[in-house]
Amino acid sequence: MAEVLAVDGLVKEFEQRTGMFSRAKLHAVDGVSLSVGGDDCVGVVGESGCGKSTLARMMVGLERPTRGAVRFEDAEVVSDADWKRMRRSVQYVFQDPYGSLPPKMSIGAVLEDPLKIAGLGDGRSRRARVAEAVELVGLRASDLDRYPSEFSGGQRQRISVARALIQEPRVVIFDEVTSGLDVSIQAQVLNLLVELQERLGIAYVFISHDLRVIRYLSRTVTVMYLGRIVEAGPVETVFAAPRHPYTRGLLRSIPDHSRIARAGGGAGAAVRQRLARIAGEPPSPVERPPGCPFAPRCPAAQARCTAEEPEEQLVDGVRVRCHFPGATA
Amino acid sequence: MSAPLLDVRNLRVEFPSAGGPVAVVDDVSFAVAPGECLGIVGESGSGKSISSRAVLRLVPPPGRIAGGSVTFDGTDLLALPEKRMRAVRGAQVSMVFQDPTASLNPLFSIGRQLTDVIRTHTDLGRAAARARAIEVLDQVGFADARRRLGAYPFELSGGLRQRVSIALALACRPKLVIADEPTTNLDVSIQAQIIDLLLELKEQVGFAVVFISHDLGVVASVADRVTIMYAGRALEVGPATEVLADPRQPYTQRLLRSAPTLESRRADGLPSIPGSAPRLGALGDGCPFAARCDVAVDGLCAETAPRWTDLGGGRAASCHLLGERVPAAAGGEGVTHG
Repeated sequence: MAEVLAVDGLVKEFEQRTGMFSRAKLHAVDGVSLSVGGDDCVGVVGESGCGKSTLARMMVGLERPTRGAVRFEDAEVVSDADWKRMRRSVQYVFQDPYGSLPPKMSIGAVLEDPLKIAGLGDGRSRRARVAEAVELVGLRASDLDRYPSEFSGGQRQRISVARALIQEPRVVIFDEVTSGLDVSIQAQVLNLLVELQERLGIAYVFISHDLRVIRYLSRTVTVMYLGRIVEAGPVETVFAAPRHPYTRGLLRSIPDHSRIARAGGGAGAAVRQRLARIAGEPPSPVERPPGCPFAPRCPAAQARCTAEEPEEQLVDGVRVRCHFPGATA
Repeated sequence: MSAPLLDVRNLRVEFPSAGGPVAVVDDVSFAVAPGECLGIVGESGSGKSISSRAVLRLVPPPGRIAGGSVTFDGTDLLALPEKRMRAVRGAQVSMVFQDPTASLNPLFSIGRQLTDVIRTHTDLGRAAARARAIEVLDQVGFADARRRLGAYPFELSGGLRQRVSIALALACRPKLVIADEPTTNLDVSIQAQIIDLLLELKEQVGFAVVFISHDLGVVASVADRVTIMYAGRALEVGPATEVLADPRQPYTQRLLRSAPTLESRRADGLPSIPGSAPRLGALGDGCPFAARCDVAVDGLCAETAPRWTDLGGGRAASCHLLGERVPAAAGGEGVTHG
């Protein structure tokens, strides 16, 4: 995979007021390194507050990192001109297609806008490209005169995808794009994303809290917890034998109807899946516990875990940040 | 056959529109036995939330219940005067919503809200109500419940707030809890905790649950039986494990296949259902799924309403293509607890 976009030791701190005069630093993203290119699909998974969306916003230049580097096409992104150039090639699709489409612009205008701003082509060639883009995402050219409110949630998400693709990006970052969609519509959007990636040969970063969707779409998976990557590797390996106790816990807490289907119907035997619990809730990113941030919730935590922060290590091609990376699924 | 605790028959809920009333719930029947968990699964617009709200006569206006019956514990709820209905809501039948802030008042401590509910529905005094509040907070997993009575909703995380709304729902020892997507906005680890908690309490306390969800995995892990809804109608019912393992109605089959699981692989593709749900006002007499169904028969499915086929073992489905046909009344039979 030829690297197109990479982040190295990325840190994002926010200041948070903790009282009338006191402020505390919140480490939303804390030392994240990750790269993407070619027609790769990197899935990023984690629960709320793990920093996945902040990471995504830095990867598209909507947010500048506090520390660390963003590299685009093998050069560090430093100047405003660098950021501008990168932003055209790295596009972002949001979760909420209601909030991200301007209600008073026709779909044609919504799609033409980024081309106008970039100063690409004349009116005629821009419109041709717009027509091509709507067809690419499975809508009709006749839809171009309609307004966002006339479309369903799934169709709006298609329009958002078309808007991201119209500038011919090399990387598209999808942030929870299927979260609000119905199951049957989610499948349509996921299939569209697969088809587009195969046709266009571009790279995806796919952020989701849903491991089932990540499993389906991604080639590699990155698991985040409290601003850090705790495990990252090929999706097959990580799902078959998760090394980090947090990944194991997450996988076991996903309710999955296929397990019941596999167990067979029969006499309605007790095949109900027992969901594993990860005890407690994530600690505050302001008051990070010493040692491993997952230790307070970890069923396998030992004395060392609360004292000493684990370094990232490579186990069978999987990056793991744990003192005791187990290979039991 | 034990008598159902809740028996909903041929429920119809209408909303007015320019072209006349539109049925958002049409001829839906379901039943819940004491201590049982019925999962109602459907996509948006399927009528799953509205049907459950109709049980408590909480259909948002201008919608109205236009037909059918709702029998709870032997009482016809649709015939009950509003004053007696209020005594049912929150006491005998309570609700847990997707958004816990919907059932919590931001201005009052959680202890105050719990004791208010308890004192409204029981004749417990202040001290006894407080004791009950502590007990129920403890049940939903608050460590040191006594000390937490003074906490305000904004001081709690989303998961803890949902625990409080479950405590509110359980405070008066209801026989039935209607949970409408109670885990949808929660993180997966918290979702697993809440599902576990509901199941544990159901075993311990013995209430019945109507669990509404769009997530097949979630329903698979909580429900004893399921009803699959589409475009305001019920299409398939039966024991949850059997319906999910061996769905018989074409919509159920396609819905299950289109949901990614922990085993889905990109190389295998994800069979999606083409098109989108029909506009409810535009539905004809036929099967509501006919327009998107790849096995629909021309001149039959879109024109004629399918009947319920009894599949045995408490299972039934509504589809023309299921072989032997049974009288329409069997729809009611198929969904009662057998």
